[in-house]
Formats: sequence, structure tokens, C-alpha cells
Amino acid sequence: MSAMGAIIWRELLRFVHQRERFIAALVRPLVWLLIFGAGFRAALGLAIYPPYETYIRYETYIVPGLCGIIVLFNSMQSALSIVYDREMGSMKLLLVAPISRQWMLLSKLIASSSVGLIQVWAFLFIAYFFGIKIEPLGYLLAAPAIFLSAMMLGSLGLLISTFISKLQNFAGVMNFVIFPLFFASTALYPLWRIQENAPWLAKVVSLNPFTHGVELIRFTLYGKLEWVNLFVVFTCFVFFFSLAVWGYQSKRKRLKRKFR
Amino acid sequence: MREIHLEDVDFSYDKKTVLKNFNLHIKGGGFTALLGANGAGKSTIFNLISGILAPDKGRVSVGGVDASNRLEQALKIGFVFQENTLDLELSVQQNIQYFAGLFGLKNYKAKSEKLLTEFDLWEQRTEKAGNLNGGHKRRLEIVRALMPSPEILILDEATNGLDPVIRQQMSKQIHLLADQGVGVLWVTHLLDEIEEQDSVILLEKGELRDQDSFFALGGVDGVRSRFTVEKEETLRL
Repeated sequence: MSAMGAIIWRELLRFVHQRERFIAALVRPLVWLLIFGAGFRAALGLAIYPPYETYIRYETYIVPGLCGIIVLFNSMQSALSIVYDREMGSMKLLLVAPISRQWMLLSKLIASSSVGLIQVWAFLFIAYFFGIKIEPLGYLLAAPAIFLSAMMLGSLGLLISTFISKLQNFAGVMNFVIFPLFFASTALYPLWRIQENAPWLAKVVSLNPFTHGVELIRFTLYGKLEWVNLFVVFTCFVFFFSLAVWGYQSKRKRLKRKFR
Repeated sequence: MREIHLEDVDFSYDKKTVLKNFNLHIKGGGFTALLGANGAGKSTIFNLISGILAPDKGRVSVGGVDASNRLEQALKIGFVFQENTLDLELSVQQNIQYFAGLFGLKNYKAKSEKLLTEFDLWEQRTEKAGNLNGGHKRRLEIVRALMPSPEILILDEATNGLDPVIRQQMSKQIHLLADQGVGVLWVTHLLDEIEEQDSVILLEKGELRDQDSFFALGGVDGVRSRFTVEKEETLRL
């Protein structure tokens, strides 16, 4: 087994052991889908809007956004576990292993993104029985989009974790990251609707990388691709990851404080 | 056997200077104790040798190779950290399997069986690491560190939190390893873990107080007399 294989294997094994984490990851979007979706169905009528070729139910519209929130929560939880590992000291084992820090961080990201993908597939499987039907090919085509979005959000989590030295601070910061990213995106309402009511917010939404992650997932679920979304998600992934690697280099002062 | 060198090392956390123009030479082989009170800079030196931290100035090398070169150093030096670095949700064997993958060890099973037996962990091999008692957890950390057959084993306060009987047992086991040819650097503030023939490095407030054999330093009394502060509380007998 390679170092990357070992890190992924460990993360998957942890995921299998932590059934509560898996259930919580599914309950959250299902509550949104079944309760929020039903409640807002009447309030938020939808026009025919790409990638959809016909009128759709509100629940169908929010599914890609809920896929997004699953990977968003999973990515931030993974970053939280890195802060925990660092605070408890178990991160040191990774730091003395014969792998570069870039490789170690990339392995961690791939591991958490794989877990995120499994969670999304499980959610889509359950959603199928509540009437959210997607072409079988869509599940496969969306997989790279979900994975890439998870990598981007995971990199953002890693980047945030370089600035945070204490676990309790991290939980607070997450509230300032997860909710603005989620609500200022197209996860719950389409851009044209936001444009009608709050043009300034529409600008914020179109600049939000999470929006592009959600739209990338939305289009690929229906066998389509918007290159702008792919470009933004990939560029943000490279940008966040590069900054996170920079933050984790041993000479950086922040890291020194963490291993004091 | 590989030697450890810290040459003109400066290191500070924010504005607090821990080491200033610090020089240390640890000969390869045998059992060397790095002894100092809390806050003396022992863990900083440990983190510098392990490559987790880099000095602000100067050089830290093991066997002539920079300590930060993990690709070169990782399999030659085994580390046992003060903190728990086991995955408590994985079994004993899974922890070893994870370590073997991380460190690129192939055909590790025979070696792990031998070490688990030697360190009295064979019967616990399928148990979750989280269910082990403190002594077994520390032993598992040592087993893991010995998996690549390192030339040097460095332990940072490895007996922290253990009861005196288990501490003594572990100290004996580590001395035995040193007798078998593994160079041991034992970072501690506990005098009763040191034997007469051991080399001792005395550290206080980031400065090297003395370096000689425990016997030459005058044993327990000689060592204690060389420290100026807080010796009653932080250097335990």
C-alpha cells in the first residue's frame, strides 16, 4: 500500500466506523429536501431554466445544491478533524512520514472527497425513492464534478485550518464560512430569481465558488457541462490548495504556534 | 551509527526565544538522555530533529543529512511522541498496517508479529487501540516506531502519565534496545529512568548545562545540583 493509499484507506475505515457521521450527513439534506422543499414549492415557482428542458418541481431544483451542502459539510468536517489531529498531536505521525507535505495534504483531500462522493451517492439513492429521478448516466457523469467540487471545498477547509490553532475557534469560523457560502449561492434559488429581487446579491452569488460547484453538479447530473463552472471550480481548487500548502510549510510562523 | 548535530540554531515561537546560537552534538549509539525541566526546550529540540519544525537559523542534521529531508530520514529514525498518535478507532493491527503503508514498508507482517510478541501486545492485536490501557498504547507506539528497523529511536517523554512500575518496565525495554545496537535518544524530565552508564545532556532554559555520562555527572545528586530552578517540582526522582 502506498502512503496515499494508506491515508485513503484509513479515512474510509474511519467513515465506516463512524455510522453517526454518515447518518447525520444524510439526515441534513433529506430534511431540506422533504420539509424545506415541500414548504417552499408553492412560494418559489420555477421557469424552464438550463439544464432543465421542462418544468421541474422545486425539490428537483434543490437536489444539486443539497449534494453541494453534503460535500461542503464533509469537507469542513475533514478540515476540523485535521485541526483535531494537530491539537491532539496525531498529525505529527504524518509530518515525519517519508512524504512531502503537498502529497500528504493532497492525499487527505482525495480521501475526504471520496467519502463526500459516497455520501452524495447515498443521498441520491434515497432521494430516488422520494421522486427525484435522474438518468442513470447522470449519476456517473456527475461523479467527477462532485469530486472536484469536494476537492475545492476541502482545499478551502485546509486553508482555513492553517489560520486556526484551536479546535473551538474552528467551529466558530465554520459558521461564518458554511452558511454564507450556502445561502449566497444558487443551491436554493436560481440566479435569475435573485437578480430580480436583489441585483447586488446576484453579483455576490455569481462570484461565490460554491455556486459554480453546485452548477457544475447540476449540469453534469443532466449530462451537460458548463465550462465556466468547471474552470472556476478547478482554478479555485488550485488556488486554495496552493495557499494551504504554503501555510503548512514548516517554517511558517502559524505552524510553529500550533506545535508549541 | 548516525550522529545528531544542531549547529548555531536559533528558534523562537512568536517573540519568545527558545534556542539561541544553540549547539549540540549527540554521538551515535547507546542510550542518551536529554534531561531538562518543563520549558527547557526539550520538545522543541525533538521537533527540530524530527523535521516537524525548521530552525530560524542554523542547521539540524542526522547522519550528515538535513533533518527536514523526510524522504531520506524517515526510515532511519523512529519517533515516539509525547502525545498519542495512534488512531484509537482502528485495531492494533490496523494501526500497524496504516503505518506500514504510510512509511512504504513492504513484507512487514513477520516483523510486526515479532515486535508485538516482544512487547507483549500479541493477544491484543485485534483490539481497538482506544480500548488498550496507557502502557499498551505506549508500547504500540514503540512497536510502530521500530517497524522500519531504525538506526535511532527518539522518544519524547514517552512514559508520561504511566504508573511507576510500567515506566520502569518500559525504561528497561528501551535500554535493552540500546544494548542491541539501536541508538536511543530519550527525552525526559524523570531522573529515575536513567542508568549509570547512560550519556546525559542537561538542558536548562534553552541552554546546554552539561553533557557527560550519568556516572561522571555524579548520578542523581550531581545532576540535580547542576540545575538552578524549579528542580524539586520538575525533575522528579
